[in-house]
Amino acid sequence: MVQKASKETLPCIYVTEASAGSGKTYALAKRYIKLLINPSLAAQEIPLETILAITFTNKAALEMKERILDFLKKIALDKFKSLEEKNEVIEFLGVPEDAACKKAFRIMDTLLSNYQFFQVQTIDSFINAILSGCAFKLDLSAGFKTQTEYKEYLEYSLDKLIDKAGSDKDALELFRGFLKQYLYIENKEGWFPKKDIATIIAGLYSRSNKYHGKFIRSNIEIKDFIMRRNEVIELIVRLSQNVPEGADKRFAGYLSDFPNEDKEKFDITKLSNYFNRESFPLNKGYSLSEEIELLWNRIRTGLKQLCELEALFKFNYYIDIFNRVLDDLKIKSSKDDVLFLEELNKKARILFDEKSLELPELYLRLATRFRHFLLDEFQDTSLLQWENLKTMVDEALAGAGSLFYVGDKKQAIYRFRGGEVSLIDTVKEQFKGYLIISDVLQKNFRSAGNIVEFNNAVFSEENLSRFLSKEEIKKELSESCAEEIMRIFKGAKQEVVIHKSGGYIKSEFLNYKNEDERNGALKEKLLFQIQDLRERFPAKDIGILTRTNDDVQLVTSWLLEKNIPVESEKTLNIRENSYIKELVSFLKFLNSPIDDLSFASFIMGDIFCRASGISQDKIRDFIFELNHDAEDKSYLYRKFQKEFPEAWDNLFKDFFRKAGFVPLYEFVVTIYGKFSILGNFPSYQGFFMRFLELIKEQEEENPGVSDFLGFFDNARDEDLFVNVTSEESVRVMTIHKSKGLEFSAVVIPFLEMDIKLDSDIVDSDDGELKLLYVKQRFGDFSDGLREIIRKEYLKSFIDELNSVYVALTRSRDELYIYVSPRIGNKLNFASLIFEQNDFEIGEKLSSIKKGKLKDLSNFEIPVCAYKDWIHFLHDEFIDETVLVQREKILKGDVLHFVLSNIGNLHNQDEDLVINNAFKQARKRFPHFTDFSACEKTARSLLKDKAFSEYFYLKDAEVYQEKEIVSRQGQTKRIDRLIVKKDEVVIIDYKSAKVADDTYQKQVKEYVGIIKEIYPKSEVKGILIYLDDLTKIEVGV
Amino acid sequence: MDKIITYKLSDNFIEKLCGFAKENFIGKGRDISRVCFVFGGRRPGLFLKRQLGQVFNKGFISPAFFSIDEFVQYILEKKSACGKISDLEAAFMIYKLAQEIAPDILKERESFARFLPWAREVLSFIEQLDLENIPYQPLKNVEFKAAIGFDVPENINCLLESIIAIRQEFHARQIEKKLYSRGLSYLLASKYISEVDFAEFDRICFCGFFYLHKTEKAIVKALLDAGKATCFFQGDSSEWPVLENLYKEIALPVSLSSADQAQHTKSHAPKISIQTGFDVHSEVGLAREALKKINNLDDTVIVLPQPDNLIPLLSEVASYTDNFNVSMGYPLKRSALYSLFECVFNAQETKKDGQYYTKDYLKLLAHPLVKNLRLFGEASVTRVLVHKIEEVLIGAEKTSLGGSLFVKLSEIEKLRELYDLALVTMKSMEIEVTFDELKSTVEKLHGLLFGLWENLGNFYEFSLSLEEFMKCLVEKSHLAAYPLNLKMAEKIFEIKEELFNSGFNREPFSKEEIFKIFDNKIDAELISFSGSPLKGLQVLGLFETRVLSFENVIILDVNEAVLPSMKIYEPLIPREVMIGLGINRLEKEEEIQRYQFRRLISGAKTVHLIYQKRPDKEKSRFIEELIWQEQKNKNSLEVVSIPQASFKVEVLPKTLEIKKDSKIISHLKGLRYSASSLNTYLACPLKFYYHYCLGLEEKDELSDEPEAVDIGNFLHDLLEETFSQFLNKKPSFDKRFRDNFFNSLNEKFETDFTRKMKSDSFLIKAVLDYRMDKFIKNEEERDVEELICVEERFDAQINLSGRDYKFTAKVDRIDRLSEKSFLILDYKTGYTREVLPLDAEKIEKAGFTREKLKNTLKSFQLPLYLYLVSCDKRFQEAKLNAGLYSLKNLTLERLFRKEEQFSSREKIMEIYLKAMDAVLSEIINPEVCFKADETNPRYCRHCPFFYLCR
Repeated sequence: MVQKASKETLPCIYVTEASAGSGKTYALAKRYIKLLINPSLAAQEIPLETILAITFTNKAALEMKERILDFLKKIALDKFKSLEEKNEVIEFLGVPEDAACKKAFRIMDTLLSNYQFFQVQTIDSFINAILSGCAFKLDLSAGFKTQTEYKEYLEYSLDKLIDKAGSDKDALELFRGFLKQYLYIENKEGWFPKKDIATIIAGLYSRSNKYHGKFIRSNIEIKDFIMRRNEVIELIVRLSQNVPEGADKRFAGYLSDFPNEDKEKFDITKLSNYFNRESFPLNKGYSLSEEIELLWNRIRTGLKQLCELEALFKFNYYIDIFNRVLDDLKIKSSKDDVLFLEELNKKARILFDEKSLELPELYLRLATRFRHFLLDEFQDTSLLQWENLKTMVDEALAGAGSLFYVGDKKQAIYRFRGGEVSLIDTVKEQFKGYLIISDVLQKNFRSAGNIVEFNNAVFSEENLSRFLSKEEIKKELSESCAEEIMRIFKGAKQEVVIHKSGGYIKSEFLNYKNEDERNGALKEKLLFQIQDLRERFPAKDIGILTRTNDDVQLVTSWLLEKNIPVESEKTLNIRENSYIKELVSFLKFLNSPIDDLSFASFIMGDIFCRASGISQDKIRDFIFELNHDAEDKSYLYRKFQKEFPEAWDNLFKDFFRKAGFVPLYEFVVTIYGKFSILGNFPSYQGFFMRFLELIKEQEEENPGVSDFLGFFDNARDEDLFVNVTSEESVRVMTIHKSKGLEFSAVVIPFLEMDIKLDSDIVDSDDGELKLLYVKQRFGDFSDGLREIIRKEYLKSFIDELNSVYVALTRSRDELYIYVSPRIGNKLNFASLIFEQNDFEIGEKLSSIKKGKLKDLSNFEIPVCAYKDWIHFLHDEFIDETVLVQREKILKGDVLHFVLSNIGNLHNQDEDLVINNAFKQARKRFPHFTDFSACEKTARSLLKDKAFSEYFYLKDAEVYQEKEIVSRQGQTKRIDRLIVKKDEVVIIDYKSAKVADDTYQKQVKEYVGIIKEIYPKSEVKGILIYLDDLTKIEVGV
Repeated sequence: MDKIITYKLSDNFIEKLCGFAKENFIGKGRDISRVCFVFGGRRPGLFLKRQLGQVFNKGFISPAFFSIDEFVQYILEKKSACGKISDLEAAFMIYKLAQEIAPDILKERESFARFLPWAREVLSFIEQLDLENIPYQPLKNVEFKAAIGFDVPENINCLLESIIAIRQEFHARQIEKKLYSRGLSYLLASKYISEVDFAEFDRICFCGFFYLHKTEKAIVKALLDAGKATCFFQGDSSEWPVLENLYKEIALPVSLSSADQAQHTKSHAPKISIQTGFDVHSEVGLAREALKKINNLDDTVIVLPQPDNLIPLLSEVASYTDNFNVSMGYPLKRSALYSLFECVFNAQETKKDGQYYTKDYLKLLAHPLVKNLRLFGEASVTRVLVHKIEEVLIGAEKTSLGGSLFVKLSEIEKLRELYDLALVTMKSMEIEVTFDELKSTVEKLHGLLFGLWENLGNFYEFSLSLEEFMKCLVEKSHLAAYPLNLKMAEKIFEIKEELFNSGFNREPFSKEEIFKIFDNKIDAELISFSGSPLKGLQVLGLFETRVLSFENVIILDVNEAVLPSMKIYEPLIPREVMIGLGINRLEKEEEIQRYQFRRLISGAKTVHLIYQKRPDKEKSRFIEELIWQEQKNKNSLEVVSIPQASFKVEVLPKTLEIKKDSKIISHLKGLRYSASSLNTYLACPLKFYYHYCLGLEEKDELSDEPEAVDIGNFLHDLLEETFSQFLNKKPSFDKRFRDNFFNSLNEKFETDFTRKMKSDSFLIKAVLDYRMDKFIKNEEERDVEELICVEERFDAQINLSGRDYKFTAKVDRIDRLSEKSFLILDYKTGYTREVLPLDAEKIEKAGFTREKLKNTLKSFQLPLYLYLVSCDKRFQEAKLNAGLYSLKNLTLERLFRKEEQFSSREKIMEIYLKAMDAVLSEIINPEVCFKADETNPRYCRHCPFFYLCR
């Protein structure tokens, strides 16, 4: 029962469709607050911990939290932008204004002291929380690590399996079978089968984590396929020998060549298109014999079966290998106490299914119980993610809870990550027994009127049906597909809210013969365009959106050629920065001094040349000359040492000596300091600091120089980006990255729809995953496969159309589009989406929208002149002798301790005191073995007449380990302090006369302080050496 | 004397306390050394002493100072001598008890190494039960209904019951050994407190405590009741439930004068500024800049809630001042020693069938602490040996071990060539050493790095190895090159002692388990900086600031999950069950940290709060709270502006252009060009410069994965070797040839690949067998009349635009197909289409610039080969063609694809020569600089000169 309702009735499901720029976050925040302010609750009741809001990214989660807080504050302090806004909100909340205000105050207080229950987070962090709470059940340790990178683990486990083939018959058979398929069936051309296996199993791993279940091989074997293949070949050969009269000439020619072809390379996808025909291709006026007709039908049936067999069995060996690799990967990752980010959702599923985690226990472990769920970007939620939430949602709805989800089918562009757009409808179906309230957010708060209207027109029913009825598209998409697409865009029309008459759109058609020419023309146009926009907009408010990362690189390089600052994955990557390259070269050299190339790389760079004052030309000459000296075989750095001894001593020697001893971080900081890197190249501060940050981030995983360099070489680009907030550079990014963002002006240099079909399709069925290998050509022979291909094609088509939608809806004021008719050799469907591709709508903004260029809230940190600082901590260092003489020192410590337990022995049972002292010492030093030697020394000391005056005292106070404090507040500990009427004696025990002067100085210091404390007494200092039982009196 | 004294939150606690001491003791001539001060930690004592020093203005006998832990120990020792149980020992005790009492807990984690993290969880739970003195009875069955409305599932009750039984026995065993965990110490001390006297003290002052465990409360209350103690608190109990609760439980009147109370609300407000960074370095950069504005560093603290950020902070701070104290831990993991152990263990773990994985073997040898060991005379002897071993194993020096993926120690020890090579180098360095001495050095090295660790079965043996290893490092390595390494070595010795003397030292463990446990142990170890004597700027963790006050406070990482930092999920016993047991850590933790935060900023004049703003980091609730407070006070939402830090980022990369001087030009004019050098120039002029002008090459690396080039070389060599027998003959592929061919393939594969690869060589072998079989079949069908050349070099000079250039080419093979028809063949293991020139007309039409030729001509190989071969008089009259022969799919791509092209051969060759001329003219043109071609970023990414190119 779907109805439009405005009053809160629970349980209830709210479904909100939100087109681009329609205030989705606002709607979510409002809903969240409504749940808290809920008038049916008691004033004190604030059900914070019962609400779970799930967003797509961490950034979105933070934004939403901020929005909720702002909202609450506005209500509490009555600080709405307008009366209209206030009325709208108050009405929505359904409580009187003053009650809302009071409650908002209370909520703020509760929220701030129970912030951990302010649960707005990504699905991954929520699932991670579940797994952390249930680690014991999952056989993980309490402190398991979640990590992104799993490839190394897969490779390791694959290596292990391959290694096993040496001793394990099953494993060997597995690879033998695989090789047969690899070479004979797949006709793969690589030399390294392992690389191909690794690529495919990485894909399988990633897919297995998107779905719930295990990959199951089909029961078709190679031999079945080969047998059928040979039969088909034989039939075609037979046909070629019996070509009927009147046969199509070209086909007859093809058939006559067929018997000479390599049968092992038989490939359906390369078979003549004539085979697609229902009946044998005959010229008009001829008829076919029954025998040939039968043969033709048998060939067609054979081809159909062959396609279906290939589709089913192609991945068998990969699946077999994968399943075994996966078993090992599980063991290894559990041993290392690691969970991969990819598998979080799958693990949670296991927790529910196999480890039978029940909701009561889960909620007990989460220390909360959810009643209300708010889900953002529902179109990008995966089936598995939803399944994990569904159990909780079910339970909440059964107990008068609610589910609120927001999505936009038109913006579903994350299918490759498992996003399942159909969930928007499926969930409604799943909960059809409950009240479902659907809503569409129709206002556009982002773009100016012309842009909204333009998009309304592009995605209108009328235009889309025109677009989809184009012959080129109709060929690929059936009518029902077109209907499905129309359904997605049904609610695309938006209301204009801002600048009704504003907004400018320009589209240009780039009809060039080839890509080179097109790019040449586009480059010129684009650069001109950007120059024009930069005069009217702050550069950072100009976004250039492309489909692929390669295009990002290309466009970036065009802009850079013209000295236009750009922020993109290319310019912000520290690995691409020349100074960082120099630094890395330096580290590579220090890590392996025989690496001549890296040494050359560093000394030819700016960092070295600037610091040393040696010109780059001089260095190049030096290396150039060496190239002509075949005699000297020694390493480059040694030659350099001879040629430039001063530079070596000043700049290299110390690093060369210390490489590897000093932690990498401190080492690089010292390099920064020594070469005055930040001072010499201050404009690149961000790159140097990111490099340091990266070293810091990698300290756990890759602590040493070589580990770090290995990591750096292979690091993912996203780990290498510099943070920028510069106003002066244009942004270039992919459409996918632009989702959720907006710019004043957007330029789309390549408006494209490139529909690609994956050759592997997962068929998921109740815990079992099947993998189909599908080629477009298979659809020509098998109806079943054609249907599957059609579905996949439709999905891919929708992905592309959605990405066009996302791209066209990012701009606020101006939008520039360039469309080409083709993508490579293929038709660019995007070129059909507008009725005309050359047009201009509205007027450009005439006034400058630059605003203040310098953001006052931005604080640029001056560069740091790093120093080698470790010696500042010299008070913390220990002497090498402490380690060398460890045992002696320990013995001294034991003796000290024993003596500290011996007070004044006058009138005491000496034996008892000594025994007690040793008893204590044995407890304190349980692992010390040489007590007898200590006892001997102690007893000798006490017996020695020279010392008895310090141990047997008639009228004196004796203190052991007495702490005194100097007037500056520094504490000194005196081993033995004897206070007599007119005299104070300070005794300090030493193991041996190693540093007599220091000892005497120390005792003199004690004497000084004690004199201040006992100004009327005579103060004596005595050093007792325990090794030879001698003493020295120390005067002041 | 008041039993309880409370100061305001904004008071300087130490000053107040000193005032108390002055008024009640010093001023009255009472002996201050008979007063005992108990704080939460040790650091406040240092500050109080400094303060007292000022009061006395001379030396004095110190009062007694205890941290609460020390005080508890003091109580216990009054009763009888006892010690502390080490964490590993305690964990092992738990493990053993779990085996005996509750083997279910060990399911799926049977070994000690696997159970260790959970043993720690069990310990931590028991610790909490002990500290809070939770008796056994209520634990028996938690009949508890959580506020959220669920019964405790049976499995959790079972787990709880097992742990209770373990706890009981754990106590008994500790008491028997008189070695106590912290929890048990507190529990026992709270019981003994009424039995011991403290005649040595006139007064015991408990200072600045906030939350007290039940056992602590019992101790404090007993001493208060006995009239022996005074407690000093800070803050208004109406604001802090923890304090309110504490007062209630102690059940004593609190003295906070009404004047003080009135003042409390009016106390001065610090000047607070909030800033954000986007990462650690922008944060510490902000801290450095904040420091610059502060005059009085002696009264300044930087609070670092996240100890990980200490080193970046110090690096920044030290650029500004050298007068600072650090009182935090420095992780042992950061030391070179730690990475050395990683290498040692790794080498053992990847060892297979008595052989070491060469990469890990070399990594260990190349470790700076190892290669600089003074095993024989000077460290340079070891260094040279290590370099030579590396060169031998990566194959830079040709020996039988070159490229081995796994290696036996004895193979290296016995390798004569190694010592010969080393001796030559040492002679040049004037180091006198004999063959035998070198051999014995290698053996010693092996013994130390590998032998010591090979056959370990328990921790006793391990600790002996550790001792020997560390002794050698201390005596013979350059540990002291980094002063903190010595502290770390000291710590390792301590750990060694602990393991050597542990109760489980003879229990059998696998080598891997021992390494893991040891690793686990040093993983968590911190080397503590004592931060004394007190001087200058203080860098402290949040809890080190307890009781202290500073005029200027800079707090970093004020992010949620850091400040407050709370363990939200209890992985063993759910939090709700804990609450049912009376242990609510979470709420308390929150309040404790909020209290410390607020206390610290209340007492300051200026406060800088810095946090990281990133998608995965959120500002702390404490900041949100301050902002909200301010917004409420001013009834406005726009009250706080939070500047964001940034670094300068120049996004315009520079491009390198190398000008050609006369020396370079003359070098280029005299260079002997090959197809590869010309192709390199086509692809990237800068790469050409680096390689062909500067002579730079990539360093050889040991690789366990063969590259395409290895397959190429392998097949070229194989085909040269096996086909040379057909030279000047018509090849015949009879059974004998086939047998010989495949024998050669097998033998060559054995030497070239099997040794240098992991076990996956059989996969490549299958591919090679298959393709070579097809290749031979293909050769049979090709009907070649005669093999004219196999791997032959053709050199010639070509005059282009009036200038002679030297050229060279190495041709794989030339076949005579018929009377005068010859085909030059170049075997390819990669793709052939990508390097086959387009039709000559297309090349001409596109034009003769490098950029165009790169895409049209693609490769000079076939044109150059054809030209050079045609210059040879043997072929001057011949009908020559050249082709790329794919060994992958056996296609043969010919330069002249169609018969008719032969007739226009001269014209076509002219176009090729024109292209060559154009490229060479550009190469020797002084006006054209060497510049990188960056059109294909992926190509650049894999270029050996990637780091040099900028």
